[in-house]
Amino acid sequence: MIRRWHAVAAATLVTAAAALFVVGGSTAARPVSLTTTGTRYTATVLIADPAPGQATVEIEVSRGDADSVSLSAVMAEMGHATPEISATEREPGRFVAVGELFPMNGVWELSIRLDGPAGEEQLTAKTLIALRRVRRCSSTSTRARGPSGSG
Amino acid sequence: MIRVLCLTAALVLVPAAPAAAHNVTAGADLRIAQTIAGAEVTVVVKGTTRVPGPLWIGVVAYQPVSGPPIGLEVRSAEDGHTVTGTVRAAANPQYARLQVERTGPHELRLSAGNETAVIPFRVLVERESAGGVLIYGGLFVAALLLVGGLLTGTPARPGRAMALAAGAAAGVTVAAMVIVFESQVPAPAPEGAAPTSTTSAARGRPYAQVRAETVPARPEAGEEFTLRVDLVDGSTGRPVDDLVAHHEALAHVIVTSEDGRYFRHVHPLRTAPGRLEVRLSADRPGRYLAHAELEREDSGGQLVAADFTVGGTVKASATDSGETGAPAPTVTPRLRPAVPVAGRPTTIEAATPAGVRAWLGMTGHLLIRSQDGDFFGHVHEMGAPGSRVRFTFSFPEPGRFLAWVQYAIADRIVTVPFTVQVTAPETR
Repeated sequence: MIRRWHAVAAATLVTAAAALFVVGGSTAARPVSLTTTGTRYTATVLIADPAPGQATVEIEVSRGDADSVSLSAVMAEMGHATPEISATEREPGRFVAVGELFPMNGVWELSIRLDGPAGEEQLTAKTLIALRRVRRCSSTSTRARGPSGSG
Repeated sequence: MIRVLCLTAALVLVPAAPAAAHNVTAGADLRIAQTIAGAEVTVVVKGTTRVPGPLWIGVVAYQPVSGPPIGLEVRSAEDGHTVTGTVRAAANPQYARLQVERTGPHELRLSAGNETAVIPFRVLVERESAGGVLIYGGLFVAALLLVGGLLTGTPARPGRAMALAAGAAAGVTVAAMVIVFESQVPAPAPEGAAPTSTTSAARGRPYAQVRAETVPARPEAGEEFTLRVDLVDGSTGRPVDDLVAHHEALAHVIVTSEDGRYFRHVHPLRTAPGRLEVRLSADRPGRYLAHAELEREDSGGQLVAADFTVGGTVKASATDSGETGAPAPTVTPRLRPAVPVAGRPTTIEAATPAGVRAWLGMTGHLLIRSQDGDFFGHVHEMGAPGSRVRFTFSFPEPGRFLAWVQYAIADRIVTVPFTVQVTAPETR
């Protein structure tokens, strides 16, 4: 009889844990994908492993003919800024940047500076860089500067 | 054991709370005051409960607004999808319906005449809480097992009865635990919310440096000019583009002439990241002071100051308080004590006509400047009964202070200028 009650208790605990897991949301670690559109370019940033340290960031330019793409990041909360890294064009419209973009965990604003015949534009996207496994992501505003310096 | 498990789960799974900056959710309107087309208006964006869904946008006027309707453009910063509309500013405006296709970052572009403001905001939609499903699901499963078991005669067999009891107990336990612990487990972040860090202990952001200029650089009296304020992060050197709506504005800018005869309380337009601009004109040459109150996301309020010079000669049509319509009332506010003492609370009360409207979220505003302009204060009305506004403020030092009481009535903003002579506390 006692063993059965143990089984009941165990089943209850497992069910309750599963319930809390659902309430709290999924903890599945997943890569970050952010799309941001400006007036000239649309860029999708892919970060396979959004953790502090050496980062590999892939930028897919799906609108606008970008010749060069550079990345830098700012952690507004702490007032940290990282140097700009030039991305290498692996194939048309697909750039990859490797470097120390996110020295610590927290919310980082990624600035993507694109340049091409259409002019220069800076797009931004916010991402959470986390040691922990709970991650969220999204993108934010854009900034454009035309070839003539207007806007 | 269960309690430990739950608390551990609650601590590990704490979802990120959404940032409060410029979020548009159902039931929480975004209100941003703007000085556009020469008038004070407040843009109101009402949230949606779903996407695709409607955003209702209206422009509340506090002064007569002439000219064509204000152009609206809402653009998703993710996919660039853009919708447009127009709206006419009025005291009780009609709202324009603009369809948004997704949550997340958007930009609202306002156009009036040759002025344009770009207001970044986020469309958020609340997620369904899993708690309700679990509570009702748990109870439903328990009831089903018990009733089903009884009807099929399961209690006659001890093994099945135990399994039945276990299943029912699990269902009831899930429901009970969710009821007990749901309040401790924060609600999931709405769809479209900005990422937030739950681990960082940092609170607040670096100070903003201000770089102010006028366009043209040396405006003439009577000539319209633009006051441009560029905000720069003191730690990164990057434009400060994370201002939150602080008392319903990205920034409250008070422009006064050195002698205090000229006064404008305006709300500049964000024309580019970190850049705020407002059109002004001054009828007298001389030095002018600009005090800007603003607040960065996750930070407290901040005051930045700048000055500029207007050239030329005095224009005959000088209006000091920037009002339109009837002249300002000449009633001087009542002070208690009549002669304020530095460092002690002083109550300032001014009679108002009937029908005072809330403006910038408050019934009344009191702006205070020391004679030399080094000190600046902004006090809010305390909710006085009857037709009056009441403020309490401790003047920091003896001397002469310039003060302006402001409130809004049906078709205009009333400004009551006065001066206060503050004495030193008695020395004993």
